[in-house]
Amino acid sequence: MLKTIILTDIKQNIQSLKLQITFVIMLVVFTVGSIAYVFQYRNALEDYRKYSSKMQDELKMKADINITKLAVEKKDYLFSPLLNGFIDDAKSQFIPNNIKYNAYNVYEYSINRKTSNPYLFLSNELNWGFILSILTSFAVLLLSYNAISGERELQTLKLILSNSVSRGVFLFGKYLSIVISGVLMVLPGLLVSLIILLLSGILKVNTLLAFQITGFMVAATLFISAISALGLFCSVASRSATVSLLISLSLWSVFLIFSPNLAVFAADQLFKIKNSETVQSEVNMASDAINKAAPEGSWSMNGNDPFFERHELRAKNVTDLMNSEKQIKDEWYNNQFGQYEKASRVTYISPISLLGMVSESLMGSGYPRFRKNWSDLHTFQNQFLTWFKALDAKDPKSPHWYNPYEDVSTSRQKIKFEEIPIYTERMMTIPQRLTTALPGIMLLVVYSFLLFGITVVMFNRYDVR
Amino acid sequence: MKKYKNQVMILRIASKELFHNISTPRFITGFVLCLLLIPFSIVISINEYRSKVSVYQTEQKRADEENLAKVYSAYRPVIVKNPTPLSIFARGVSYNLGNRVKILFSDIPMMSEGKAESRDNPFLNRFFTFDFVSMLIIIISLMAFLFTYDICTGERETGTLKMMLANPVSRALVLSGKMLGTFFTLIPMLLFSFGLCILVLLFYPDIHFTSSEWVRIVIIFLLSMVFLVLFMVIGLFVSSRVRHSGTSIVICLVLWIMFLFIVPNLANYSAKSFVKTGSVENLNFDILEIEKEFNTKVGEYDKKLPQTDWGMANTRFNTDGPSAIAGASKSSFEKERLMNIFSEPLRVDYADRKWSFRKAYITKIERQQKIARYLSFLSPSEIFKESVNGLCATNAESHYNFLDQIRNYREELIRYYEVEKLFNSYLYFTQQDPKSFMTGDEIVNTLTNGEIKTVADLYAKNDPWIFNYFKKPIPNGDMDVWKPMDLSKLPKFDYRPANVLDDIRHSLLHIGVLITLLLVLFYFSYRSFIRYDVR
Repeated sequence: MLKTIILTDIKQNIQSLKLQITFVIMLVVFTVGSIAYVFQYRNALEDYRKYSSKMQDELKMKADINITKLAVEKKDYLFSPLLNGFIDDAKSQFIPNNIKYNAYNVYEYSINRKTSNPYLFLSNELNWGFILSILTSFAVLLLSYNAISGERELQTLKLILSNSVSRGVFLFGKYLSIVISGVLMVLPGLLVSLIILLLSGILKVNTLLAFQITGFMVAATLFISAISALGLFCSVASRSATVSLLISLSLWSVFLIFSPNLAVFAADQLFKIKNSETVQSEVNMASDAINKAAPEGSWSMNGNDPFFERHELRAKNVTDLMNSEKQIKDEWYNNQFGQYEKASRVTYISPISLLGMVSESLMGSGYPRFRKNWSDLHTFQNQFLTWFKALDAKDPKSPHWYNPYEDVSTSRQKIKFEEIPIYTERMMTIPQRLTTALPGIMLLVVYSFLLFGITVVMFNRYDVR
Repeated sequence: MKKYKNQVMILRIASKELFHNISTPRFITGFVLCLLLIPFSIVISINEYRSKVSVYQTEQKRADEENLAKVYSAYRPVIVKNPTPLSIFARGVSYNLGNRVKILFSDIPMMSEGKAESRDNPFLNRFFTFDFVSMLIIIISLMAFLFTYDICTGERETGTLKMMLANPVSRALVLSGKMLGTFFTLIPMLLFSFGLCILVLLFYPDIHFTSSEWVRIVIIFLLSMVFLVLFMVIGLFVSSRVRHSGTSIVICLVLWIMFLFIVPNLANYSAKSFVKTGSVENLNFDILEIEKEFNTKVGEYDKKLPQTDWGMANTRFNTDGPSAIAGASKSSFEKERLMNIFSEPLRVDYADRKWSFRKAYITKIERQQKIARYLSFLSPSEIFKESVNGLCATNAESHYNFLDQIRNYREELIRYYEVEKLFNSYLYFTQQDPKSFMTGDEIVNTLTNGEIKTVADLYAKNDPWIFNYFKKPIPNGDMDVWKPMDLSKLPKFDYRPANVLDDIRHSLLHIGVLITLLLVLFYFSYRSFIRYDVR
């Protein structure tokens, strides 16, 4: 009986106007989105390569001067464009993607907007995540809002239930048919998109890509089942299909619009942290105090003689300044991370946000990528400093008074470009990605179960006349 | 008499429609959605505006300090743009752009600088929040569709349409009456949205609008009515072309999703992907090459100038011109003056050379923005949003206008320097009275309190630490006693934002398109309804 219900409903859904129209629109958006992505990715990669090679040339020039200049110069690490942006870019261009560091410290992060156009409105990329979040969720709601209330209005519900089929089995059949119809609606678009990307030659077929695509498809199925459960819930919440539609549209609007607004509101009002002006004035005050307390001669400098005795005082003073700023700023950075994480958790009432979180983790982009780079750069910075100090120790012309900002009292030997340690980003491994995505996946499953459970309870009392 | 009867009939049909609509759950849903969604968006927009205002105040203070120059080579005015409270209604692109521009002689301003993020915590940018106009578009268009999708099909399905038309009443009258009734149903929602917005604003007495800004708000309200009627007519058109409400609602909702979510993102993404702009980083590398060429030329000219007798002086570095100098020898001052006569006009010329690269970049950026905008006009909601952004002066055009005025002001300032021959003057780089200029020997004599008489004698000592012989500070070398210059005669920047009439004129195209679309669709709906099978 279950199989009959499922097959009949799937057939009905496929023949319905709503599925056909949304299927066509989805296919068009998948196609245009993928073609546009090929161009956009190629441009982004070309710009990134030009930028990297110019940075490399500058590095070569510095190495030709001396190793201390290499160590104290603040470098920028700019995140490279990721190939999996066609699946989900996790709004990577809107969050920090540039980290400043030198051998002594990882200083700050910022958003490098150099390739974005400030005169364009903020908009979403047409990737798989966007299509699923907006189009597919809407289409699945359209399919499911009148699954029960619509059948009641057509008077067919009481006819079906007059057969020897339990309400639970019937509802489960409806649910599965909606999920399968939703998946069937999306699959051709995904395939067309993959074919376009493979033909363009930008895709590198490997285990990681296969994992990402499979992972996203699993997440998409879970998302579709959560939305289907939501649609069924709306259908059972009323005896009229129109009211069911109103409820489902309202919930969809709330999930899409309300949740990001709520997150920012919560961050501003509930999870308040210091602002940048306050932090900067704290840093300035601490620096002034250190400079006032510094012994006389801490600011003397003789560029020609590293062993000028006042350079030791200078090095100590500059190190103290760096450490005090580092302490204040690191605390502030951790507060920013905490504020963002708490605000994101607020959005988890919305399955759309949950899908975003899961795909971000599976792609290893967005916020998880930033945090990994932030911590990896700290590790690299320590290794870089150790390497520099080892080289400096071998130089008899250096007094070894380590100054984090200035080329004053450490080794001035030249170094070959090939010997310089360069930071290379290590992408999150598959197990790491799965661990990060797991909470979101569990929440989506819980969402579906909970909503479906409530729907079953409500349907058992539903008046089918 | 007949006209009077027709008017009474329309009003009767309209009131029937109104009372019917008020009793449906759709009516309450609209108000509930407004109540849930609008206050949050306003509060967030207000917080963003307030943070912009506090950034503006800090930057204005810093600019006022920076603008107190002691020599003309240091005077490079910083202009800070005041944020408009109308950005609470429509964010536009105003939050992507900085509000600060420094006038440089060596470069023509391409874009504004300063804090461009609206949120202090950059990670919060991941949340795309909706401003008032976006929220209004979503709610009003959805409610318009929900009330008009079954304007023909609903009555046909319940059987009441044929009964109504069995009376001696024309189809045109029925259609007009129904549309009027639906309009009266939806207007309270629009008023409620604006009312909620004003109510929330009352809780923030520090935010106030000028009378011209209130006029703009009223015009935005009138435009919203046009927008509302347009979506009603789209719903009516769909309803008049199909026989079943089920089909009509699906088409309306699909159109809704396309107009509000697909077309804007598709337009932007396509423009970003297919229209190449290149990166600012790479532009900066090109600019650096030109600057190197300028510095080389200046260095070569420096070698041609006669040597000075004494090179020591107090200097204060300027980023965009020669350093301020005090206590130098007469020959040094003269050399500097001769150098400036060559380097400063050359600096302005090189700014023009840099501008050709910058202009190429900006042209690509502007082209990409225009293509995105034209593509997005496939959606009437985007046309409406663009006209509201224009009225709130938060669209790209108003920023282009601001930058054009800045560039014109820069030209005016440079012309003033040229006409007053400021580059040729000592005042360009020092406040020291030329009568007090000393020769190198005189300076050494003063520095060493008469112990060493000439420069030659000092160098004859062969001591790398010549400072050890100095008993007094550099004569006339103290710049701290210099007062900031009187800049009252210099041209000042006076920002002239477009007035209301100008903005309306610029938005006329958009408003015209909306109204034309409205009238054309209404005409076709009317024709469909005339032939509508009411059985």
